[in-house]
Amino acid sequence: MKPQSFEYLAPGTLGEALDLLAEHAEAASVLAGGQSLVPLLNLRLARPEFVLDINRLPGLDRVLVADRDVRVGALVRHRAVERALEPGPLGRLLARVAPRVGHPPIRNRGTVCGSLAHADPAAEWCLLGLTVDAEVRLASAAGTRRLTVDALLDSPFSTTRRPDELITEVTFPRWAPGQVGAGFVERARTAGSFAEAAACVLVHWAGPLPGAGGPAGGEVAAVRIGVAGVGGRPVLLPAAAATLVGRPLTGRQRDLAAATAADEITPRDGADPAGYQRAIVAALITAALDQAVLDRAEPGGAVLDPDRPGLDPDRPGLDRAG
Amino acid sequence: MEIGLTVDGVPRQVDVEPRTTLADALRDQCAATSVHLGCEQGACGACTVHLDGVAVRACLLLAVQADGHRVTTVAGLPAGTGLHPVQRAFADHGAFQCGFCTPGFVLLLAAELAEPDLDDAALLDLVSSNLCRCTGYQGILAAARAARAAAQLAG
Repeated sequence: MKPQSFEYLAPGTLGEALDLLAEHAEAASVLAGGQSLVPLLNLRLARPEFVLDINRLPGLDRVLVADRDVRVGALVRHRAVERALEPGPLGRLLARVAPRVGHPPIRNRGTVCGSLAHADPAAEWCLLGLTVDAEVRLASAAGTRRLTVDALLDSPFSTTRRPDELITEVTFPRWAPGQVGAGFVERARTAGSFAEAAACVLVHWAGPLPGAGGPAGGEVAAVRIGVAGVGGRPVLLPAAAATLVGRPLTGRQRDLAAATAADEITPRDGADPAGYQRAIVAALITAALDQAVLDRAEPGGAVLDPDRPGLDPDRPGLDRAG
Repeated sequence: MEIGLTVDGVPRQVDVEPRTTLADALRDQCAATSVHLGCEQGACGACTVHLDGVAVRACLLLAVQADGHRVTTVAGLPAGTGLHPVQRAFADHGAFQCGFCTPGFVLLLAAELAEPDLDDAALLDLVSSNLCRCTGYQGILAAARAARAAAQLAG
C-alpha cells in the first residue's frame, strides 16, 4: 500500500511549526523519526491532510545533562541513548532499555519523544517514562506547559497532547548512585518485536550502601513499579510497591511484591488467559527487582548535590542520522 | 516536488509527491531496483539503505526527507576492484539463496559491523533486524561473524 496524498510542510523554526499546528491542528500529523507514523501512512491507517516535518527545527536534537535531570529533545534518536547519557542509575537504565526498541535501523531514525507522543501501549519509553515520573514539555503558539508522562498517556495511541501542541523535550530525573536501583525487563518474541509485557521498577533506599548487608542492605524508602502490556497504557502498581517500603529488599519481600502485582493487574480481554498474564507480570517484576538490587551496587557518577544550582554546559546532540 | 539527492555517488534531481517513499523513489526514478519492497511497514528490512552512511529503512522515509542527502545502495558500496568485505563474506559462507533479502542484509551489516561493542549476543540481535525466508539465517550469521572480524581489524 502507498500513503494517501497529503501536503508536506517543513518549517525552519519552532515558531513557524507551532503556527502551522495552531492553524491545522487535527488535520496535521507531526513527522519526527517517522518510524511509527510512516507505517501508519503506508497502511492508510493514518490519512492526515498535512504532514509537518520537524526535522529542520534547530536545537531539538540536544541532550542537556544538568545536576538534577537529563533533558532529551524531540529529535534525539533512540540510538543516541544506547550509550549512557550520564554515569549514574538513569544513564544505565536508559542504555539498558534503548536496545529493546525495534532494530538498529529503526533506532537510527526513531525518537524518544516520538515514542511518547505515539503512545503504543507496549512502548518501552512510555513504561520507563511513567515509572521514573518523567515529564514532557509541550509547546504551542499559546505557550508551553509540562505534563508528567502519567498525565500525558491516555489510551492506546492516544495522549492528552492537544492537536496544536508539539512535544519539544522529555525530562528524566537523575538519582544519586548507591541509593537508587532501577530494573527493566521485557518479554518479547525477538529482540525487536513489540513487548508482550514489560516491567520497570525504581527503588529508592533510605541511605547509601552500607558496608555490610550487600547490595540489598538498608531499608527501602520508596518504590515505583510499572507494567506495560496488560492494558491500554502502562500502569503503576502501588499496592505491590507498598509491600517493599520500610524494610530491606530480601528475596522474600521481592516475591511478595511480585505476587501482589500479579493480583493487582487487570488482565486484558481477548488475549492470553488471565492466569498467564498474571504469571508473566510476576516473573517480570521478580527479575526487574533483582536487577534493581544489583543496579544499586553499580559504581558510577559523582554524588549529586541537589542544592547546587546551574546547568552543565550543553552537550552537542548525539544524533547521527542527520 | 523537485528534490535533489545523491544516490551511489551520482547527483539526482527527481520529481516526487510528498507521499512517495524513499524506497519507491529509488526504485522508480533512480533505477536502484536493488532496493526491495517486502512489507513496506519497516518489519522485514529488505529495503535497508544508507542515509548519510547510516542504515535506515527506505520504506519508512519519505523521499522528500532525503532532499540534500546522500543515499547508498549495494551498487554504491565501496568495493575497490572486487566485492565489499560483507559481500565477499556472503559469497564465502552461503549466506543467500533467492537473494531478495540480500541487499538489505548487506547494507545493514556494512553500516553496523564496525560498532565497537558488537559481541555475539549483539550480533545475533543485529541479524534479527531483517527477515530471510530461505536460508534459516545460519549462513548469514556466519558471514556476519567473518565480516565483523574484518571490520574490527580495519578499525
